[in-house]
Amino acid sequence: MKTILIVDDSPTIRKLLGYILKKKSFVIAEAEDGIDAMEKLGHVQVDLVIVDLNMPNMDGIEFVKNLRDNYFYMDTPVIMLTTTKDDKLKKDAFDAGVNMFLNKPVQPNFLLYKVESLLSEEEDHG
Amino acid sequence: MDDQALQKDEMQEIIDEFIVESSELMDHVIQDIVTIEQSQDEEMINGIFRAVHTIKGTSSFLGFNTLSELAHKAEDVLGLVRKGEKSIDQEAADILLESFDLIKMIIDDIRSQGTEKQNTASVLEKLKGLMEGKKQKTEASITPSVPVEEEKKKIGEILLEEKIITKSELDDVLKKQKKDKDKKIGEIVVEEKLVTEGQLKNILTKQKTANKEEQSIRIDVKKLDELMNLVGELVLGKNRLILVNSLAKKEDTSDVVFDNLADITNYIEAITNELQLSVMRARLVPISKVFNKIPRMVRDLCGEFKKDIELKVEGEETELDRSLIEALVDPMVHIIRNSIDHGIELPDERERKGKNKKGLLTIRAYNEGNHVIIDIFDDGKGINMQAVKDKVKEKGLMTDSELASLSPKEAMNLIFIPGLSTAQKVTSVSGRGVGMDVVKTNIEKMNGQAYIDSEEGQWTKLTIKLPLTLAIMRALIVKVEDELFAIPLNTVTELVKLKEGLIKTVDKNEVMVLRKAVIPLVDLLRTFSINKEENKDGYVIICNVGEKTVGIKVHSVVGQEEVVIKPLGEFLKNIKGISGATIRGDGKVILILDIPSVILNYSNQKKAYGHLHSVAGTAAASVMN
Repeated sequence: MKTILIVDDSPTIRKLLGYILKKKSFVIAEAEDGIDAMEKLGHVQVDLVIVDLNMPNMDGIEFVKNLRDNYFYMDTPVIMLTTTKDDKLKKDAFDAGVNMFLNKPVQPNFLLYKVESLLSEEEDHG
Repeated sequence: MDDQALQKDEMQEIIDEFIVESSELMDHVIQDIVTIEQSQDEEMINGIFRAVHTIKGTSSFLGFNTLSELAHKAEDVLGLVRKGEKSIDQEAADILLESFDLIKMIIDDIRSQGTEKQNTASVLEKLKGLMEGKKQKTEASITPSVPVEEEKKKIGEILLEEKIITKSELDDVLKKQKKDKDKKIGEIVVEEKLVTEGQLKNILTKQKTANKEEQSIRIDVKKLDELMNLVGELVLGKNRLILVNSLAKKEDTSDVVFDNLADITNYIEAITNELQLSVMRARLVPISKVFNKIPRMVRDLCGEFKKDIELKVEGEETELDRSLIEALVDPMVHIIRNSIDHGIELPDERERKGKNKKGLLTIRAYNEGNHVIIDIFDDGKGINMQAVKDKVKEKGLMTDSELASLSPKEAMNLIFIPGLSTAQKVTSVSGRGVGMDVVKTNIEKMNGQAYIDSEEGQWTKLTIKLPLTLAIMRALIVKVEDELFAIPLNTVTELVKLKEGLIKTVDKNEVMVLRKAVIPLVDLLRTFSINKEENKDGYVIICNVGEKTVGIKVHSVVGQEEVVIKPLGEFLKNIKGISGATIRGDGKVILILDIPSVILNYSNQKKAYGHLHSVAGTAAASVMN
């Protein structure tokens, strides 16, 4: 059973993504911003992270930078899911270490497909 | 949104969540914009930006494209503000607030009908103009966002549901309306004598409230209400135990049993008291839920009436029962509107009078015992007492001698008389009065009281006094013939033992003199048509509601008790003079008197006897001469 951490300041989005991902029986963990997510990572083993960009306290890019600094999460796949279409921010996100940059709204099946393919890539490597 | 991926109920749950989340976000944002207009604050701007951004993202996810587009455009403007390329001046604030209001309306539509119905074109245009830095013509923006369709319940439907008119009668009325398009259904049914005006008023308020859906705070209110009910039952159980205990004590049997019983009684009493308190606390909501809306309102009203006002709000953290908070909004809006419209003068006029150019409006909430007090104070022109009195006389509501006998405070509170306010003219003379009776009625419905104080030319202060909670209250249990009644203790000021000759008759009405004050008496026997001969002894319960004092004749007084108020149910709920019922320790149901309406009823009764000058609601005053 794979665990996915959803980081988004909107409870609606967290719930929505949660429902989508539960279709494929993933275990869901939620965090409402970057700092909250770092805390959750301290005691939950996470296989993939879906993170929003614009959040209070610690935004998505800042969070990914922190995540990559952590030995355990250096290779964990990260999907950034955001409404921003700004190219510079997109570049910043990739520089920080996200694996995939998706725009909201995303088709549920498309998201599931991406999540599964990222996770299987991970297995192939390991 | 791909519906196959999610089931319908899951989708609904997500949409519900979205509605709660975005309504909360919008409320915050609207407050923040008003604050920012005064002083720019970077962190606050970021917060507003994020909130709008979130709404944009979420709504696009859920397929609410109109909402998403609107949020998107507002976000663009806020983006510029965030980068410091634009400042929030009054024009920008106006347009942003307008778009946020529209967002709220769309959210309301989604809540009530599941779809977006608002027309956003003109607001989008304005936001675009703001982006391009164009000056907006203010004339063009009178009422840009009219709801496409009024989705209120129709009056006809409500009348049908209430079984006030029949289907065929309704059809007739509808036909008539087709012929005469300007007329409202309400007007027609009154003309046709199908309903009385009073009934129509009730229906109209119903129509308003039917539209206002239960807003949810994060706690499930239903659960809380259930808990409250349970606790109510528990309190009844406690009463019962106390009674059994006192009964048992009278007979000398096994001491041990009684000792135990006494133990249990004490225990249960302590527990229930605690439980009751904590549940009551859980239901309390800080009054800031109402107060937070005030700055925005004052801002808009200042614009509308060209006033310059400094607003001070104190005691936002004061807590009040949830149901009261909701019911408090309308009266507060009304009072504040009155203060700004009629109370506080225009800046020039203030300067001429030697007052500070900026008017002062202070709103303060605080606790006083088991009550919450809300003061609304303005340093405007105050109330012209003579103008109010003239108006009352002109309307034929009271005679000269009656008016002359009023104390200044009583005269001031005449503005609450129903007949007076509909005249509307009083506003231009004295500066107050539109719909004040409605305010008072609404507050009295909540078991509260409203009174006004003023110094002409200087200030006006309106005070609202509300109980902390509605469900449980202390009451005085009295006996009339063989019937028991409960009188809310907060209205009772004293008890007087009846003596021969104490009761006098003035204008065929019974009164008594208590320390030089003349107090009209209400005979419950007559009010409730109990056919018994009048008693010569017993007690008079002196009750005080606002400025009105009455005495209520009863045969005996049983004692004080904490009663749990139970509604009387659909059929009996509109009985005048009764606000509910409660169950006593012995299982008997007794009725709780609704003192304000008893007073009102009493005055109406007098009218029926042919006293032209008697006035609804001022029973006290009318017998003073």
